[in-house]
Order: sequence, then structure tokens, then C-alpha cells
Amino acid sequence: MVEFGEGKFLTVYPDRCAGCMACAAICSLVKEGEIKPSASRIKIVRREWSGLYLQVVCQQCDPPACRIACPKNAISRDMGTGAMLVDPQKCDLCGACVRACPFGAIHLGENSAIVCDLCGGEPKCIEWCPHAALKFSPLGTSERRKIMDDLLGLKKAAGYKPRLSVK
Amino acid sequence: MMYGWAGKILRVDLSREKVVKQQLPDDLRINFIGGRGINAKILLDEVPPGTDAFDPENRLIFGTGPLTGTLAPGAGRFNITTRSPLGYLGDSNSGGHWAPELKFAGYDHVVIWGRAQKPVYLWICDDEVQIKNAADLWGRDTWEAQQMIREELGDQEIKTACIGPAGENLVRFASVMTGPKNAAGRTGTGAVMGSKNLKAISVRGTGGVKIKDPEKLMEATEKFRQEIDRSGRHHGGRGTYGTLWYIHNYGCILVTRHHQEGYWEDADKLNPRIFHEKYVRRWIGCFCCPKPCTPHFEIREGPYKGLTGDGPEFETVASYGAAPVVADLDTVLKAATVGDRYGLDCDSTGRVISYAMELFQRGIISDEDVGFPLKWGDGTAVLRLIEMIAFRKGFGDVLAEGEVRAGRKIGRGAEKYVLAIKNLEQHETCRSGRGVALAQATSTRGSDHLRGDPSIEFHGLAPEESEKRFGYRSAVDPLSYEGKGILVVLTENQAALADMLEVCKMYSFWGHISYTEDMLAELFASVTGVEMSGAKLLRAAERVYNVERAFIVREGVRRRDDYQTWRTFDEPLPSGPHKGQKLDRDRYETMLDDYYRVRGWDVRTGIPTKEKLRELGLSISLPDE
Repeated sequence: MVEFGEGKFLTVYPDRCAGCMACAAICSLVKEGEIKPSASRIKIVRREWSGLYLQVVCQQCDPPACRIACPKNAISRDMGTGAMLVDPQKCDLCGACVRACPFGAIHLGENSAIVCDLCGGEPKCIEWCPHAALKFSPLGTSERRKIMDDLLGLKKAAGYKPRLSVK
Repeated sequence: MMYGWAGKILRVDLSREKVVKQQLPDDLRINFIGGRGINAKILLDEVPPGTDAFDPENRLIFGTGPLTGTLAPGAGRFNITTRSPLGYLGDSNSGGHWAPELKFAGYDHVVIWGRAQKPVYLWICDDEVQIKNAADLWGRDTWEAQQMIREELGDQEIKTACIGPAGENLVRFASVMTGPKNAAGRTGTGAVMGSKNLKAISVRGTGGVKIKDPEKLMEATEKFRQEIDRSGRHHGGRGTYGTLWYIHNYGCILVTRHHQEGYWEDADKLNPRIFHEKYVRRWIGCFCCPKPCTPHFEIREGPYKGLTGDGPEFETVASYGAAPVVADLDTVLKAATVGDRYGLDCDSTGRVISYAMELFQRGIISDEDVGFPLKWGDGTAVLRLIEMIAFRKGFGDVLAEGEVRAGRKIGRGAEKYVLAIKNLEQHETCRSGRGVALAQATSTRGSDHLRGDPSIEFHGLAPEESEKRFGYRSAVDPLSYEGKGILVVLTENQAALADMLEVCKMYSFWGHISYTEDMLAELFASVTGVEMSGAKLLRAAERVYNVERAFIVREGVRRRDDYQTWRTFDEPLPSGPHKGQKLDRDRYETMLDDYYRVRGWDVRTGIPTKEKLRELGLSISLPDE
């Protein structure tokens, strides 16, 4: 039983993704004030020659592997939206969350770990994706399970590993 | 603080292995905007008249635009500019994701000269720039090379622009490729890269593009996207089926049998709907494109079963399908994929092959010259020739010189059948649209539809609307010769502007006025903070067009080089809805006079007048004759 965020989740549909990066562009513009995909909360994994494109973004796991792994208790859940939040005061960039996240969706920024905060409940990337490849809507547990399993399969197929440094 | 532009030019002297970072001068930024515009100015300033394309002093200039790497629709593009080994002005534009990556690394332009002693590639990772050994990469095709570099440097996010065997072997129409199919195809920029022993430029950028007014940018982009959706007929078809959507016969412009016809009887066999249903796995977009038009395809049955790749585009199908009349989509896809891997411009390659087929048809060449017969529609022959051209094997070595030089080499009357403008192989069959015929002849880089395309002629615009916009009711009548000067000049300037800002032409004149220059001006202002009206931006585009013209005038181009090919004038279309049409010589002369007057160029010579250059703030001295 989901007890946070009204049961709504940011769901990705990789087979609809065109790899255009509009989500990463708008995310970084809103969060960082410039268009900077390296600092975006959503990442696009591109494997052009196998035609594999995959959006990597926080799946709001329950229980959250990142929070459990964090030795500084810097990560908590916003119970209103369901987003994971990082306290930059507590985070010391040790990278434990990056190693723990099964999706590779949390990464290290210049001052702290960075993860999608769902824009306070109205994710901008959804608005800006021209291909309907992202949704923010209520999902049942079994449907969620399936989507997350598919994502893990694609991540493995792509050989995607998040970076442990800014570069 | 600079917004939009990264603010830096990277200068690389390969002979001395020296890399210098230069501030982007304000004069270039404000007067030439970016991309193709700044590239053209650098080329004119730094490459002396008469420089051979393969001379180490020739510049190879990569340029992004102020909108590259922003939210602006289709702003993922760049231009490569150089002295062409084929014609005069070498200039080619490509989409994909390489250009934004260069901006994120902190550079607007890369200017390369000299010649490395051994094969090298350039590795740009933010501030760090290295010239690296490319011994293992040399000889590899463009797909292998790009993936090997990612492996070698251990980063799958690296974007690479590289040449294949065709560029290494100095095929005069070699392309530069990024990703599986994005090509800076025309005018042989890949051969210049090969002559410099430069295999690739690999880029990784972790920085950002600074935006003056993010809110305004979002608003302007949203408005632009709505306009794109509204122009449903155009973007609807392309947005669903890609540029294959334009393979049809109603304009009679398909390069059928080396332009002997403009109507291809088998065009329907390459129906975009069938392609969509049977081959396409997904659609891929360039950076921030709301209407992606690159299909990722898979051949699911037949001899090429299992072949996957990206593409094809309209021109790939025209060139490997219509030109040699190969009506089999599988073979066309195979040819397109192989051509991309070898790094060949599909346009010139298909046309040169169809030229050879016409020579075979007329008995000027035989099995003995080629090694096998060249029959119309023989897909296997097309595939064999592609390989022979890329590796300059046998008769391929002759064709690798391009149509004009190949005609001269073959002799025996082969010159007569050459179809090229400013040494660039004739792009479309231009016997049905007068404006299209003029634009492909006046284009600064040679025969091409990407440099000024009044195909609005074929779109049934009301005469009243035409009068309002161009001053002539007949400007959009395809068979009329009146009012074409202003129409062609406008689309040439619009094309230049798209290439200067580095937005896709699908959202420029090919949007069929789904937006105006003022909308681009809004995007430009919100990104850069530089307020310029649409009219002022078009003025900058005119300036750039004159710089390009000045460059080719210095190389000897005059009025005589602004004519359509002999076939366009002399042979009526034998079939199709425009059967019997050809271009009238006398009326073409009048149309060309009109074009020069609108341009402010000398009508007798085609040289920009001193007054025009002064008016545009250009101090360039040009010959009087």
C-alpha cells in the first residue's frame, strides 16, 4: 500500500523516447538556470547503434535504496509528492547512494548528490517531452513492478553505470 | 557574461600540433550571428584565393550557432565550411547531437588547418583538448570508429564527428558523419578532413549553455511548437513518416535515370507507409526536436534480413532509388547504410553512379571499363560501385573524382552528359519549377535544394497571398518566370539564417511559413539577450550570402556559373504531370537579371557591387570583371 504522493509516480516509456533530450534540457534549465544535461535530474542513455534509448530518473522506490545507503541521513522522502530529497548540508558526496540506486538515477553534482524532486509535484519534463514518453500518474503495484523490471533489463542491456564524479 | 554563444573559438594547427583558445569576437557574433555565417567570414579572411582544397593551409571550420543546444526546436545543428575539393565553396550542415556537445564543452567554433604527420583525432573534453593517435582508427568505417573511440576513452556519452574510408581516400564527395546517419554530406568536407590526416573530432561537454531569459525562452519555444503542430499537413506527414514522405511525383523533380526524367514510375514502391509499417522500430530526434524524422529501421526478411540502421532520408532514396531506378527498398537501405559507413555523400554518390549508368546506356563506357555491366535498376551494380568509389578501386577511382572531373577523364563524349552546377552534381530535376531551377543554379555551394528552396511554388499558395508577400501574383506559379528573383533571394536568405542560428530548415522555409523570422528573433533574443528584429536577422543573412558570393567570385565564379544544366534547358520532360516542360533559355536570362538586381549584384558579371558590399558593412575588394 503506497502511503505517499497520492500514489502518483514519474513513469518512463523508453520505447517512445526519441532521445531528443528535451527533458534533460528543461530539467537543467529549471533547476540550474542553464541548459546543461550533465546536471539534469533525468538522464538519457543512448545506444544509437542498437536503437536503445532509455530515460533514467528516480523511480521513488519503496523502500528507497539511496536513503538506506546514505551514512549521513542526508536523504529523506517528501511524503506529499513521494520525491526523494537530498539535504545538501548533510551530504558529503561520498557516493554511497549512487552505488546503491538500482536504476542509476541519483548522481553527484558539484555540492551534493542530485536526484529528481518531481518539481514539487508538477514535473516539467512531462510537460516538455514532445513524444509522450514520460508520465506522472497513479499506478498500481503490479504495473509498477513490471515497468521497473523492464527498466532494469534495459539498463543492463545498455551497460549503463552512473558516474561517481561530476565528469 | 555571454548568453547563447559559448564565447570561444578553438584553433588547431595540426602541422605544429598547437591548440589555441580564442575569444569569439563581438564583430563576428553581431554581424554574422554564428554557424555558417561566422564560418564563411573566417573562410574568406583566412583562405587566400586559389588555395587548393587539399593544401594544408585550407581551413576546415566547424561552427555551431547561438541557438544550438537550447530548447529551440531543431537547434542541434552545425556547419562545416572549407574550400571544396569538388566545387568552390565547401559548406555542409548536419543535425544530431554532436553540436550541442561542443557547446557544452565550451566552444562555438573549431578551426583546423595544417596536416598531421600521422593519422590523428581530436579529443575535446571541456577545457582539455588533445591531439591523439588514430593509427587504430584509420581504415575503420564511421560506425566502427565512433564506437571504438567511446570504448577507448571509456565514456558512452562521447559524440564524434568522423570520416570513413571515403574521406581517407580523398573521394571528392566524402562526408563527415556523426552518429549512425547524421551527415555533413555535400561538397566533400570529409575529403578535406582526410587530407589533414584527421580521422575524428570527439567531444564531451559537461558545462551548460547560458540563457538570458529562461521564462521567455520557454514561452517562445512553446509558441513555436504550437505553430509547428498547426501546420499539420507538412509537419504531420514528415513527423509521422520522416522525409521519405516527400518521395512523390507531383513536382516531377525526382532525379530519375540521371535526370533524363523527373517522374519515377516506381516511386510508390517506396511508399513511406509501407516503410513505416514493415521496417521502422522507433523514431529518433536531433537535439530538442519536437518532430523527430530519423527512423531506426530493421530489415525483417529477405537477403538483408537483420540489417539495422538509421534513415533513410528523402535524398538517400532519391539518390540510391530514383537516380539508378532501383525500386527495391531493401537494396536502397543497404546502399544507404553502406554509404554512411564508408562516409560518402549519398547525393553525389547516387548521381555519379547514375551518370555512369547513362554513359553505359549510350555505349560510351562498357563492361570492360567497369568490370561488369551497368544496367538501369541493377541494385547489385549500385552496391559494387559504392564500394569501388569509397576505396577508389578500378573504375571507382574515376567516379570518386565527381561527375565533372570523371567526364573529363573518360572523354569519348562523356563530358556531354555531365550534369553539375559549380561542379556540384545536379540535385533535383528542375524542369517544372522556375524558381527551384533558379535557386539551385545560384546557390553558392552549387546545385542544391538546401540553400534556397522556393518549393512553395508547388504548394498552391493563393495569388493574392503571393502578391502580398512577394509583390507578384505569379511568384508562386511554378511555370511562371516572373517574380522569381525576389522569391529566390528571400529563401536563400532564410536558409542562410537557419544555418547561422543552426536551427533545422524543417522549421525554417520548409515549415511553409508556419512561423516567421520574427519568431526566430524572439528565440534569439531570449537566448542571447541581443534584440534584433526578424528583418535585421535576414539582413545579417544577406551579409553572409554576400561573403559566400565574394569567396566564390575570388575563386573565379561569374554569371556564367549561375546557369542550369544543359538538360534542364534542352530536353523536355518525357513523362509525368509536367510532361513536355523544360526551361526556356531567354526567359531564364531575364529571370537571372532580375535575381541579380534584387541581390544588388552586377547584372553582367554576377559580382556583388561595391555599393552593395558597403551597404552591408563589408570591406572586401573584388575584381571588376
